[in-house]
Amino acid sequence: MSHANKCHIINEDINGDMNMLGINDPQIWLAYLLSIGSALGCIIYGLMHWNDTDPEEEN
Amino acid sequence: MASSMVLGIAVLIYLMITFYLGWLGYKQTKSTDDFMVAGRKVNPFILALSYGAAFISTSAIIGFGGYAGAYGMGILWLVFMNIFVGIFIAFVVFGSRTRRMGLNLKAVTFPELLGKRFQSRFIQGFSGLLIAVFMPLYASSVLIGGARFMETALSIDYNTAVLLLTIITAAYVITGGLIAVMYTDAMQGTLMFIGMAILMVFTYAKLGGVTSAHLALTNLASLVPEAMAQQGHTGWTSMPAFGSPIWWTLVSTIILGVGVGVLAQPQLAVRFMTVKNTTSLKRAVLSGGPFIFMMVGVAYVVGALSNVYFFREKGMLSFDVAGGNIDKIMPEYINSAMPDLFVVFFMLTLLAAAMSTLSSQFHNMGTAIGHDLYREYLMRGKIGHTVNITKLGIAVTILLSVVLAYVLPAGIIARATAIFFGLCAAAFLPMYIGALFWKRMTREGAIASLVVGTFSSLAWLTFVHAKEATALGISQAIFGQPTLLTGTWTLVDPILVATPLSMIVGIVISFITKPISKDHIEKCFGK
Repeated sequence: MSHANKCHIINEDINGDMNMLGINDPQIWLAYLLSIGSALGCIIYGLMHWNDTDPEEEN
Repeated sequence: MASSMVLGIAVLIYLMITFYLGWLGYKQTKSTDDFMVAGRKVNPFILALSYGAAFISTSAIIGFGGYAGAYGMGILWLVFMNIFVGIFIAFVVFGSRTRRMGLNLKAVTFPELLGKRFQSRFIQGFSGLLIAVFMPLYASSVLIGGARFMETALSIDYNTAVLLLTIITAAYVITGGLIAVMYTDAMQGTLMFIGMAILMVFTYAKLGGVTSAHLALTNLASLVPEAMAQQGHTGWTSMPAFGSPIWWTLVSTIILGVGVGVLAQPQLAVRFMTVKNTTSLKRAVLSGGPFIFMMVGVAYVVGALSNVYFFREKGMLSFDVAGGNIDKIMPEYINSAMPDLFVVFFMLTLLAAAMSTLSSQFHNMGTAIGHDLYREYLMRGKIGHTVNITKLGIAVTILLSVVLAYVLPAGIIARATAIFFGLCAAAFLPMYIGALFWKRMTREGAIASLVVGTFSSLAWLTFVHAKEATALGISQAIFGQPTLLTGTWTLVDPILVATPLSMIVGIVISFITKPISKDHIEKCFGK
């Protein structure tokens, strides 16, 4: 990630507190990032197992 | 005027497609398996969209979106839970075993899977009864949401809207069974996905981009009204104060109640039995995750960000713009911030959200009465008039949902989704986990867990959990006080008390009773 991008994501709010994506409470930006991450994780999981064959399958 | 014409045409086209898909379902429904579990050969993409669309109702988008508008982004933890637990864990961990066991035991409903696994008609009958009695509560809240939308969007009378919505949905559920339900769900899910995607892009673009929008919301923290601050509100981009009333509701009822409760939702679990192999379930994860993110993630972020929009435009917070009614925050925001054409499209999105949830509820309530209660419990497995009773069951429970929508006090209706999710978690989850993962769980253990989970959950919300207990008024009438316990206890959701209790009882009773025969266990799990 370039320095410019980093500066864009990590900002200061009105009180000068550091924050991530404009959110200063780690409990919230963590939830925000985990939501996106888990959705992406689902896509990756689905793709990785697209052609799985289950030995126990009847088909 | 122009937009109401566009809306009229859009709704007409939408209904035509709905009926066409319903008819397709009707044509393909030839056996009980077709009606109950869509012939066990559903495409993974259809499964994912149908599961997601049935899961996400109007109340998730409007109700919880409004909650985010009032209380902020803490509810984003529910998005993570919905994707990680509601999709990933549900499909990969629970789904594959549910599908295989359902097939091994020839089960066509969720109560039947549990009943056959534990060789107990009581479990199947009691679970069916629980669904038939309490799911109308949940269905009535979805019905009200959908009808209220039709009332405002199409300018038709509310009572007419309730009837129209009910008749249209019931028609394709009764004739086309689960195939019709899942086809229409998938179409409705696609509409919902597009609607929410546009909403997200428009909102971030309007507020100057992701970081700027969030930053502006962060900077509104000083405007939190005093009354809300005392309840624990600390701003829209921070968690409520730990242990405060808002924190307890958010964490115990919303994040845990809905986030975990989803695993034991009968109308969702039955969908795992509709696909032909485990690979279909894994493939469904691919579209299921992003779908849920687009629904709830967008609704909650946009709900919270509506504060920035209203503050810039009117100098007011969303809560005040909506006149203190959080259910009006999302509609108010969409009406004032979005282009007219999008408002039309979003109305359709909401109609689709309501109908897709309703149809799965109607189908599930019908099979609970016709198959689980009538055929398996009362007729001891004889077919009798099962198909007709199922259809009659659908009609009766629909009627019950409509009546409930009128009779129950407003306070209870708003809580209906959470009540149902919590009850399912306490009654079914420990037994469902045991059924799939713990071969040592006995019939007696399962029955004890089911009964204890059900009644402890009902008792807690009648006598302790303040939100339901005060609205119901039963504790007041019997004991002369709104809740039996006081302080923090009245904030703790039933799910946190009843589910662990049900689990402990299930484990203890299983250890002191005779294990299920080896033959049966082999039949359930396959050799």
